[in-house]
Parts: sequence; structure tokens; C-alpha cells
Amino acid sequence: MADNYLVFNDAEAVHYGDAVKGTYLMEVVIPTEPTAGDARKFGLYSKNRDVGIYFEVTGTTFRGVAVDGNKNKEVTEDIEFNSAWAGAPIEYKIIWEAGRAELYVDRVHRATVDFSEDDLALAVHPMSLYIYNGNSDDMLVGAIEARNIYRYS
Amino acid sequence: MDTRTSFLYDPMRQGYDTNLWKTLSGSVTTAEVVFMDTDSSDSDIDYVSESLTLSEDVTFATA
Repeated sequence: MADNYLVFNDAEAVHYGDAVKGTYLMEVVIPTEPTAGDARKFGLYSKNRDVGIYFEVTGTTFRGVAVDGNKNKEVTEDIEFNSAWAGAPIEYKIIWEAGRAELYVDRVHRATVDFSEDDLALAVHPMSLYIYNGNSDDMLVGAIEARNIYRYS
Repeated sequence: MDTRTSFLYDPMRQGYDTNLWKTLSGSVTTAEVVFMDTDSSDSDIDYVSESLTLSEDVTFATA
């Protein structure tokens, strides 16, 4: 078998494709349960504009985030991290729709990040697949599938 | 016209393709990793990770 995972160890990468809306499935192995000092993000992000929809581990918190840095606004929804997810290949899914994102982990709906009332610019700003692991451990990323992208370039 | 786009990125076929990905910090590598289902009592997907580097020392759990 060939190498089947990307390894992010204190590393950060962004996909060159720019997308608007759609469904994004990412197979990710978060190596440990969220711990103080942890910093991980994966999902959709435009770093230069600080606009994104992503899963985030920040310290002991695991959550879904919608952010618009230009407007200094952020909507977050905490997600209880199941200990069985640590060290296991789990499907994380983002459905980016008008005004909100539906977040699934391990094929179960976990959170709705509703940014319709906060006037975030997420309806029009294209974003890219983005992966960041600020920890010195191996966060793995397997297959990524994007479906029904409204606009892609 | 509403033309939707889909794509699949598979590291096993594509590796870390720097034509598609830009490394912003650190370095991204690839690895061959095997996960095993150690819980046969249900049909749910339930994996336990093994060592990143497979070796003769890897002990596989039995169902």
C-alpha cells in the first residue's frame, strides 16, 4: 500500500482551489483528545481575509467556527469530543449553505453554525481547504471529498 | 445556470501534491498508516490506530 495519509506535525497548508458553498468531507485523525495548549484547525479558510468555516481544537475545546475577521465577528458552537475519535480516522463534514453551516462528525450531526444574523461575508467569499496543526504531533489527513460546490476556481 | 462542481483528493493516489497545496508553515509529509477495527460487537465504524511506522513490533489486537 502506498502512503495514504498526509501528516501535519506543526505544519499548515492550504489548497489552491477556491470554492463557494458545498459539502466537504475530510478524513482526519486527531491524535489526542483536546488538551490545554492544543491548536488545530481544518475545514475551509481564506487566511489572508480571515474568513472561514472550520473545525477547531483550541485548548480543551473542540468546536465549529465561522469567522469573518474583516468584521471582527466569529460564531462558534462547541462540540463534545468523543474520546473514541482520538487517534482514529473520523469523517468530519461541513455543509456550507446560505447563512449557516451544518457540521457532522463520524456521520452524526453535531452542530449548526448560524451566521445569518451576524452578517458574516461567508455567502460570497470563496474559501479554500485548509489544514493546520500547531502541535508537535502527527495529525493525519486522508481522503477529502468536495461535493456540490456552487462556484469553484 | 447552476453547475455544481465536485472533486476528490486522495493522498494514496496523489501524495502531497504541491500543485494543489501550498505549505504555509512547517512541512507536510506522507505516511502509510493502517487502522484496525478492534470492536466486532457492532457494525459501527470503530477504529483504533496503530503505530505510524509499521514494524515487526506492531501487535495487532484480536476481535
